[in-house]
Amino acid sequence: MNNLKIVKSNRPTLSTSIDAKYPLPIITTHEKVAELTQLGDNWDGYGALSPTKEALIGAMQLAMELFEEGTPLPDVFPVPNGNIQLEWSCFGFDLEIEVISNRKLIACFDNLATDESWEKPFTFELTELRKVIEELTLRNQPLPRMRVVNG
Amino acid sequence: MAEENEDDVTIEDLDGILRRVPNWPDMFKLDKNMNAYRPTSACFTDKDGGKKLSVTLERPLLDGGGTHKDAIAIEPKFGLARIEAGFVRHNVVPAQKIQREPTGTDLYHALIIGEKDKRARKAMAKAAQLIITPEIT
Repeated sequence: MNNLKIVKSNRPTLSTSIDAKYPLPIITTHEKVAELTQLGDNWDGYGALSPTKEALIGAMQLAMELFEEGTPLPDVFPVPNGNIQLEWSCFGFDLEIEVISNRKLIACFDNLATDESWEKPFTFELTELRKVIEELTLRNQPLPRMRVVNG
Repeated sequence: MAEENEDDVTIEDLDGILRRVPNWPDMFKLDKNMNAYRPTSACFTDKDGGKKLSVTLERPLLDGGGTHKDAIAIEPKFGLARIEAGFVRHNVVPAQKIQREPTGTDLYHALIIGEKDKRARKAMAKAAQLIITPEIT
């Protein structure tokens, strides 16, 4: 099922090799995903499958594609079926993206303020997902400080 | 063996059903919208992405002299999430059924049966109460 093999190596990891070039949310997400390569089968005691190579790579590529400086850090979880899930529950948004592979995702979104709510698969066209993450990034920016004008 | 469409009504709506929450990787998170810690919806997914989710029934466990800790005996550092049977029957879409399925390692083992899309899993995760917090190492 899972062809990914863990070997000890002195070579720099993906996350360390991209440190200088990429925004922190991408680096951090890559580090969290990389940790999950250590999981074996049955990590949940219910017979869970270890994450698939396709899901691990897909999650990293998704971060590269959608995240920018200021994007809130997602929670990153393995899913017992071998997929990887990125989650945000903040700023009135609930967003979950289950990554099956690089071009196969299922996302579930709730805007708690407007009752906008959807669950849908994504392949190549990520515009709708990008909009939600851009809005999360915007909401994660520090509030502008009020200028005090004398007189 | 009960048919898949049968719901065991001897499991009452207010009865707790328990699902283990791994400590590594830590499968719970701070939900800032709820301002509370809760398990991820991934905890309510089975390995086949299918219809049957393993749980432990709380009432017979406690009535039999056991404790919540016994439900995580195989992994003592795991946490434990509790959700009410009535919630999965009446508040999750599509409605789920519950059936007892005792095993050699869990006499109070049961299955939550029904299709579980992401919305259904998320609903269960948000309704779940962490009664034992996973021990983060």
